[in-house]
Amino acid sequence: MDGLQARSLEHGGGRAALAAGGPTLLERVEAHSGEAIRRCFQCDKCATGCPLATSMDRTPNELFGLIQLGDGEAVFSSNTFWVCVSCYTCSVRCPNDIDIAGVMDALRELSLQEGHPPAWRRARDFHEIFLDCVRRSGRVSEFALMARYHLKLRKPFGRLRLGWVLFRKGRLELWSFRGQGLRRLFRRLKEPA
Amino acid sequence: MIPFYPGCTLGSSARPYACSLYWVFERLGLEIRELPGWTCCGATSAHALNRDLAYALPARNLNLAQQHGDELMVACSACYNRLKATQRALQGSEVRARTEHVLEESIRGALDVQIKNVLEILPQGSSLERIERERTGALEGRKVACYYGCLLTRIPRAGSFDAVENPTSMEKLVTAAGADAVDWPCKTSCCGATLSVIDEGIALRMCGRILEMARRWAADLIVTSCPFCQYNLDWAQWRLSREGAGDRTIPVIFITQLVGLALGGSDEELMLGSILAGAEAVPGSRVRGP
Repeated sequence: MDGLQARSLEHGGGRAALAAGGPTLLERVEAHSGEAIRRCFQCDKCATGCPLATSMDRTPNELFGLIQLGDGEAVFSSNTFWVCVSCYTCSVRCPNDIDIAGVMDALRELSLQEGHPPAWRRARDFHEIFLDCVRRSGRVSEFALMARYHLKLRKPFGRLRLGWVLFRKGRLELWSFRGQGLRRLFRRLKEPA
Repeated sequence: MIPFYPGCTLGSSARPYACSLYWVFERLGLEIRELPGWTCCGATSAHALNRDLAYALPARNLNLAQQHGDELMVACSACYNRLKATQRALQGSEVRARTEHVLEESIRGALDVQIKNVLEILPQGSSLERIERERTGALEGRKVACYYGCLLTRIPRAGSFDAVENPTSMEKLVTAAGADAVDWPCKTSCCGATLSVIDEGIALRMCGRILEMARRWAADLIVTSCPFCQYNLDWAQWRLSREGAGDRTIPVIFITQLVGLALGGSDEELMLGSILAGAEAVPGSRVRGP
């Protein structure tokens, strides 16, 4: 354990994890993302370049500070990693070579694994429906994706006019690709190596 | 003959890209063939929710590609990003073992495939010279803003063929096509990607900023090579014009449509009329009036 981590554990929720002997939040997120979050020294460059910072309740560097302090409750209730669209502006600019958008992926996955309700349900629903389309037919039919997403929203006619315009312009494929699907591959994801 | 990975959008919302791409490549004598049996790369959704899936889906396609040649041409920026990022990650033994477990096959071949974007292949010497030599005057004096978006050049660790903050491959094509490329500040800004579906308000704000900059730089056209960028900017202008809130509409077309126009392609061959906003302002388009 290096000095920085020892110091961060003296504050916040990290202490409880340390007392219980389990991995701290910082260790969990670092292990899952493969990124050295402890290197973040709050230069704010990620927040400055982030096109979505104004829609996030915490900027990426604020979130990293909370991870270092071990405040899991504040981290997992944040909408930041659900609002992030992975434009990678932060990742390629970070002076400490942290793939910040990659950490957002890890936070989404960890928060679902640990059963935290997503702060932005629609984003999670969209991704789940997208992946189920891939599972069923191997490729994504935009028509099926949009239809299923709008049914989930309980707004089945939400984008009818847009759909019609796209169809008329030859940009909506109704008879989607019917491939084998990737059900076996998706099943293997759940099996331990 | 280069194997070609089109990606899911090219059969649907980005069909004008596919259509014009095949036309331009045939016109320039560059042979491509759709990769048989390709499947989705997982896009943003796979890496948003499941790391193993995010590597398994592109790796499956790289394995397929390896059976058909050393190279794989990719059209969509998101697919390109995912394939490149996966190839880089597969160098790690842990990711590699996990991916092989999910796919139930060796991924050794996936590491050797040279993944190339359309913008890496098209602006090569001989093709550029041909475009310059054989171009019509259709684009003479037109100001064109090249819009790259996020995923083409920002690939953490793996890197791209073009500069991360100021790419220039499309400018080469625009100049060869006889138009004037403008030097504007939003070349690699984010259009919002899936937010145009999940939260229209945020997406309209993000697209609005990019469009406003293109207007200030007096662009007549915006060109892109990314299906999401084209759709979002096009959709945003269509949405705003329906509300009567839109400023001057700037047609957003694919780079292959622009090159096709310079090489004398027709409206039907390049699907010029298929853009949602400002189709009537595209040179060569037969659409009249909004």
